Amino acid sequence: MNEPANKAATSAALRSFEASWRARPADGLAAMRGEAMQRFLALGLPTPRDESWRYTNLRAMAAMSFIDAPRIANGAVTAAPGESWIAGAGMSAIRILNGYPQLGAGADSGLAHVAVRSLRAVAESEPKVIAERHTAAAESEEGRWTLLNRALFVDGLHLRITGRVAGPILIVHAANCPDGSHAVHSRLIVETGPGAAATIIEHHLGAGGGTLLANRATEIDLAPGASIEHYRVFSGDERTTQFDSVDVRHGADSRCRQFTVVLGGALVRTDLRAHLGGIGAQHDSYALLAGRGARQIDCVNTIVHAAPRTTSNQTARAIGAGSSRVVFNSKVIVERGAAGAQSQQSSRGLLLSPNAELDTRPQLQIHEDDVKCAHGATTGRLDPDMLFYLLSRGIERSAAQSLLIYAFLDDVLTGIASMPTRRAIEDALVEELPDADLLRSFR
Amino acid sequence: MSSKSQDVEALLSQKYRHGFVTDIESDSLPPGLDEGVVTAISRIKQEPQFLLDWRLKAFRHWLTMREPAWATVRYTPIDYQDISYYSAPRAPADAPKSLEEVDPKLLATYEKLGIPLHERARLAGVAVDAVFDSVSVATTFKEKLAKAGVIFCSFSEAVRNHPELIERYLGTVVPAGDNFFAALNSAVFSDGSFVYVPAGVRCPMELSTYFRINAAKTGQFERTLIIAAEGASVSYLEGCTAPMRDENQLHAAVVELVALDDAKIKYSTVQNWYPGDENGVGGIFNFVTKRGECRGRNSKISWTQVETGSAITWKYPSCVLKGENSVGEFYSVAVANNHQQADTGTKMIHIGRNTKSTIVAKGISAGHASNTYRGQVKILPSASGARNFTQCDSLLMGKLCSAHTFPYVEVRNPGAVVEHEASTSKIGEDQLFYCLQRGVSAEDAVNMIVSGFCKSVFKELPMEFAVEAQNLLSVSLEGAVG
Repeated sequence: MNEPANKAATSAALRSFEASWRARPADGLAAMRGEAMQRFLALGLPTPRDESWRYTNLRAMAAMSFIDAPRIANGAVTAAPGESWIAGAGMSAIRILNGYPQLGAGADSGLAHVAVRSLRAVAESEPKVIAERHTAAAESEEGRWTLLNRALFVDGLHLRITGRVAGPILIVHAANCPDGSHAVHSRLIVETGPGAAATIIEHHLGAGGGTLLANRATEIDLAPGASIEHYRVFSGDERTTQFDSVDVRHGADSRCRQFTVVLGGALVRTDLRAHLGGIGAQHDSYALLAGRGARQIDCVNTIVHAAPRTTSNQTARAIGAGSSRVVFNSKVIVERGAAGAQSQQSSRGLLLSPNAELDTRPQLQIHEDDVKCAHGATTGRLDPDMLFYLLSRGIERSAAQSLLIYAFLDDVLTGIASMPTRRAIEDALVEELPDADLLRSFR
Repeated sequence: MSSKSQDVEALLSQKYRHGFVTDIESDSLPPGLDEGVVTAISRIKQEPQFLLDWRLKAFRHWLTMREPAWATVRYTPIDYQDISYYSAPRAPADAPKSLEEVDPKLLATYEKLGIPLHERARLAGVAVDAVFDSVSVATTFKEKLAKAGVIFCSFSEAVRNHPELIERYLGTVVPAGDNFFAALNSAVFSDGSFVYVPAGVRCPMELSTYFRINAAKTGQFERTLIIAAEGASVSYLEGCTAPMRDENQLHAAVVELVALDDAKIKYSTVQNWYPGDENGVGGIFNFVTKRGECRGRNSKISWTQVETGSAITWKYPSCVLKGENSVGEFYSVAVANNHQQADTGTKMIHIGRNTKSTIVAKGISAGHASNTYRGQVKILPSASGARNFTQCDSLLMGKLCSAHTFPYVEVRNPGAVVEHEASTSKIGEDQLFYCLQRGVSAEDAVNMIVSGFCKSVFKELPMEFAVEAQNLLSVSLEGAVG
């Protein structure tokens, strides 16, 4: 059975996580779970003294106790906890409810070149596939929620992509929990074959009823020449806390375009760790962070250039309205030997309310001289000249403001290659902005 | 009771025997730090009670603090009980008797920098009674300053002659318990400089510690306080381009600037302490807290620094922009070669309306060195109309050096505009090729490119400093290319 953790859990949240861990079955993953749990408990919950958690205080969360979200059997009839508005024609959708995928029998996704399995099935038949995965990312303090995910995940998805997949693969994360505080720890593992290409969209919805802590981890392994476009879109309600980490490991000449779109949730912390370990790999990341109400968004990117001639581009657009707080924290590390690395980063923030706050930390850590790295970050208000231009053409102030906000986000939106996805995100975004009706009439 | 504090007791009783006005020529405290040492320093310096209380408060707070570990610098732990916290001016016996005894490498550097002959001796610490030129310069400028009403003296002198000003301003910008090194400095500071420019006075000359002869050997815990009253303006130069002989390894200085309504302070530093040898052995640890407060409306504080020395530099000259329309500036060139480590930058805290700040930081790393820019721009909700522009660029020379950028941009006012730009690259091969092709040697070409890279900072330096700084840069980067 599970060994007791070395360090006593010091908060209600930690104690509840430890209790959940003890309830996990003693299967082939027990050793991995135990090790991860002990490291997580040793690190404890992050405090603002941890550099990467400087702007997000989890004090309120620490006092809460979480229990596992109930398992909803495959095919069981449930009250719909909200539908994904991304699903369009020709999209193949997989629904994950309370962390459990709703799959039909077999590994058939309905798409060519994709094998889909539930992680539980993989854990039962080949636990090594999961237990022996490289976990360098989770070694760092920033990876502590990934550690907890390793310790507590019960199910999730395993995708094996072997060729060029025609349409986007839509994964809808939904939760349906009764009152109380529930936690969902689900995991997505994507493995690619050489030259494989696919678009994966993860849509995170909120929970009906109680308070939800969704601690999810996505791992994407890119084989040489593979190319993945990955989206994570958050549109949960105001009682959802999302900790979502994406780890991308790049093989030679592989390419990843990663989009993080936050339109909902109470507290959304997104981690992106891209490891450019293959020569000539390229990682482009985009973030669209819409802070509204009392929402807190903490977007943390870590890009590691570990091989020669690797390229990374980051584009982030943040809006702070209401009493929201939006953090964009990006770290680019160029390791010794990664000659010819190029890194660009542009982050812009628009502060719309006197009670909101935008915090930006564009960091560079360079250990190689043959590099070209740059970043630009701005924070400000709407350009008064642009506003005047629109007002002088008879457009109402509020509509003009909405238009300019929408235009401000354009750099990220135009990057979205999948048209139906872009349309859906644009529509959802308009709803978030003031004067949605007016804005719609302009489109 | 430990032997250390017994020593202190003995020393204290000795002092009592001789009364408070002893000539302190041969005084030196044994290594170690406790309240007795703090009290002894204060007594030796005949300080008023308020200052002793302040020192003790700082010391007690320091005991509760931990040495900061967040900077990207590595060094063997400092044993704070192994340092002597007070020593009177060095006895002439230790110092070289003439220039012939001075390290020829040091002399060669003076030659390259174009330091006048009579000053080389002074800089190298040669035990000469007085350097006549400097004395005459000092005397004439003292008269001129007194006429204008400017107070410019050593900190100890200010404590004796203007205790009311010290009591009013000391620790109001950098509180006694501000950070580990500032608290240590507050407890044991030995001496430093004091400047007070009265209302409406424009200081008739640039003030420099270099020419303030009584500031010689102020030691490792220097404390500087500069106050510019309403409408006053002053330009202050700290340090000099020539490497100074210094045997203290740890330097923990504190600089406080106060600018009242419409006042302007320009503070320029050229720091060229011993950086250690090519293998990273020795060198000064420079842990400095510098902060200015724009307390009044329309006030301005400008920091310009050229950091080429020290084995470790830990320094963040900052501006607290409280007054409406106040302006903060920070221009910095930090050069790290061989095994030097520099973690430097600034903080701009915008509190008042329409406050503006500019940050231009240039970092150059060569050899095995590590150079970090760490800067914070914070716009508080009250700072409507605040504006900041930050540019930090790094230049890498060699495969084994590193350059880091850690900015913190925190904006809480929707009327503020903040811009931040940074870039890191090596010297462009095309630029180098262009120069070589025209017959310029590799070393000269690199110097040209580097001084172009640093131009936007050098132009902020006072004229004579700017010329020397250019030379200094090429001396610092010697051997980095080719």
